[in-house]
Amino acid sequence: MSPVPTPVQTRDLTKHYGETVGLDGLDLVVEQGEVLGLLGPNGAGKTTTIRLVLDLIRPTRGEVLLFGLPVGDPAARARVGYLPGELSLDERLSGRGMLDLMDGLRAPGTPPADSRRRAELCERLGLTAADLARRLRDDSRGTKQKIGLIAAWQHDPDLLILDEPTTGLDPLVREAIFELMHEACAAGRTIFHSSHVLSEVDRTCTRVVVLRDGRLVTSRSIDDLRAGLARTMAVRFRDDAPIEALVAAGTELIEHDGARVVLRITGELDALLGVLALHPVEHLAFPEPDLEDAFAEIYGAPSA
Amino acid sequence: MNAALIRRQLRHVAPVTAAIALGLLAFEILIAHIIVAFDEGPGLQGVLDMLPEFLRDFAGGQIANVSVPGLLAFGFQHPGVLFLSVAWVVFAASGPAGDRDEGTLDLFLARPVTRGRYLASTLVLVVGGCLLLAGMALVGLLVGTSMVEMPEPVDQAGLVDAALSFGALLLGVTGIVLLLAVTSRRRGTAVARAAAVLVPTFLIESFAPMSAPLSSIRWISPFHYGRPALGGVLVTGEPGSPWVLVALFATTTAAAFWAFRRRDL
Repeated sequence: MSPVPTPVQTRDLTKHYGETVGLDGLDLVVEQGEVLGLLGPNGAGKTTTIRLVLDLIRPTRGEVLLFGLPVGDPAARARVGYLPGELSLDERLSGRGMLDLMDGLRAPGTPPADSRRRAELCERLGLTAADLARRLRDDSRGTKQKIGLIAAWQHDPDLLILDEPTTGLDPLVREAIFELMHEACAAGRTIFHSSHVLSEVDRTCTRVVVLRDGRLVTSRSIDDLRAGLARTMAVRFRDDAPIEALVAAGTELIEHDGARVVLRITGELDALLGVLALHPVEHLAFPEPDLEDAFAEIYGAPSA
Repeated sequence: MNAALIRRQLRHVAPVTAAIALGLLAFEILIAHIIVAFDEGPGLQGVLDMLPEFLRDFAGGQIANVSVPGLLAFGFQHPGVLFLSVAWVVFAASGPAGDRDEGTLDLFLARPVTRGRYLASTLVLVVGGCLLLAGMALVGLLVGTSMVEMPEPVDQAGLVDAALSFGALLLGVTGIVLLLAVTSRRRGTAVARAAAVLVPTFLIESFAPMSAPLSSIRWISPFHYGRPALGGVLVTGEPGSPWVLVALFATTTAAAFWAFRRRDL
């Protein structure tokens, strides 16, 4: 069985805008089934990366391959669905007209999108027949965003590039989008998710790539990111806290008030659990690490 | 080219195209009636003789020996006809700049449509519109001359030649505007650049008969090559050269495709 071509591969991808460096030597591989979070502060190079991957701008140096094909090859882009961050639709058309137009922009000889798939997407995102019949210029921002999402998704692409997909959407619709993303991932689709909303990235992505000033800062799985984070644990013992034993177990004491302690934990938990087993505990709180802290730390770190 | 893109563009330009095409049809029908009305009055030359000298010079630049075929040919050269037709071409051919301006171009070209196919869709639409406008003007003249008894026989083959010259002029303008559209980020910029090229060159060609300096540079104007020669009535004795316009169209269109393929969007 021949190997599945890598959905996205960039080699030394570089883009200069005159004297300004938009992206500098990005080497990136996005594997099939991944949901990759593309993160970074404004001007980090996220949009430049996406526009290079879609052949909307041309690299100063380096190359992009989509499914093993040069990005300029329409056969490569036939497998891609794209939702831009600043979505602009043809507002003279109706929602249905826009979806038909986007479906019509397919390679010659390619069958149209499955109408049942479009209907299912409309239903899950809460778009009614009346919404689709209305001119886009009369639609709310949220409705336009839903139309943009369906336009990207209706042909069931192997690679979805979603730039801030939940902008302007209510929490219920956001949930529906997360579900769709998980389903797509489970079905072997690949998703390139650019977002500023870290809680969304935390929920949806399997790996994150962080850019800053056009350069790659880090590329790590969400699990690695969590594992590397210091966590805090608050414990209230029945008697006085066994401070010496807790410190000996490799924790850092942040607060201490008689029987109550707050600990900072960076390593393995085995030794700490041994101490806790020997001393009766009345209450214990051990929240999930906050990824916001991790990202703040990464944003501040020097580029690779 | 792509059928979905052509349908979309057609939907956007159809109302204004239909209005201009019908306006041209009506105007050309009217021309035949006006010629007959003048012929029954002071005579065509008599009307021209009544004009002040500078206006006579100006009008003489358009029509030399006032005659029925000359005035019929003028139906393609009337400033109103030229303005409306060229304005339509500028509107339709600046579509790529409009899509870029609105942000829809990114969305379209992220789909498996090459830039060449996208631009070809615009080109097909605009060329079709140019042929429609020239065709409607021709039909108007043929219908108009068949409705009234003309003072002298009408050379119908000459009318067809005149319509082809008119169509060639619109094609030449199409190439220029398309090139400006793919190198502009905004539709307004593309339109302003087109106006900056077309208005001065139109004025040069219009006033060239009254000015030796303008006459020496009239060759730079596309309007110089689109003058119909019907019955040998042109004042300068130089009939239009539609092939120059066809060459201009081919060159500027090829340059537009080349530039659009290379540029960042």
